[in-house]
Amino acid sequence: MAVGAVVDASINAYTQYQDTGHINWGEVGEHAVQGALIAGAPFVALAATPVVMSETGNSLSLAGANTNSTGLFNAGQSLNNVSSNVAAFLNSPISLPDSALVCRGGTCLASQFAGGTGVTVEADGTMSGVSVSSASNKTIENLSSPYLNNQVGVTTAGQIRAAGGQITSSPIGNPYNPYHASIDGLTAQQLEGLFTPTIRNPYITFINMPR
Amino acid sequence: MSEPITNDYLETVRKRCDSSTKGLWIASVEGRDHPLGGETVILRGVSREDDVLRRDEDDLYLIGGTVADYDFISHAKQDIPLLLNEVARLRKLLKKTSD
Repeated sequence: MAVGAVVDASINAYTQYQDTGHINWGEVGEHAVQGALIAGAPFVALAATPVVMSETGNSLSLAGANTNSTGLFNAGQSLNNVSSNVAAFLNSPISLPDSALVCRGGTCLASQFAGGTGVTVEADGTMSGVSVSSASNKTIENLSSPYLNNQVGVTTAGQIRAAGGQITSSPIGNPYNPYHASIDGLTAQQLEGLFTPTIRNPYITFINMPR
Repeated sequence: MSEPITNDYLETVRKRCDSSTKGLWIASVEGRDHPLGGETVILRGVSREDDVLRRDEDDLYLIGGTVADYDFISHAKQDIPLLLNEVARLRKLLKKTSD
């Protein structure tokens, strides 16, 4: 039952992200319940045949499922395969197009990047794990909405790559920032150059309490 | 035993606090109080209406500040008046007892 919940919720989360660029966790929860309810019976249809996860365009598909199968003995193993494959898939980097906007809340001065939570600085001054918001087809308003800062810095995924950096979308595991992404391979000065001058956070006049 | 703090000095502390940016100060730490991707900041002029947070002043950032520094400075805005009021209350009580 639990495996079904994980699979259904995970697929829903991924599909939502691909379709809309963000994740409605309430909807994910509903799918988790539905998955738990159906896992006891129809999911045996996935038994006896290897299940392969693949990304096709904007959707996640399960290939190799034999709907005629009634191999109850193998059902548990197959469900485990589905669960681990979904987990591996969701943890894999999601590519961002060069046109994707990238936002970071705050002054975006070089002196502030090194103090970011989870940031590490290499001997050559390049940084890893600089948190930002980015997703395909999202506006500055969308991407700045998780932040309390009055000002935000904005650039694009393409400009980050052109400067020699990498950007990786990683919304899973960051439920409070569905647009979370990480930048690696740029110095604090390079980051300041990309994200400044900052603009007023368009989302800031009235905001929900953070916790 | 150290010398008592003079009333003049306490008044100076109160004026210093009153002269700082008005309203509630709250530290919002990246990954603790707001999502990853926004710099740690002290929000000033904060008020709460129903379940909505309102801001009337610009943000305050520290260069080289630790999380503890952010928490200390933001709390000081609220803590100092509380402490001054407590000193005044105790001095009044002491005076009444000694009279």
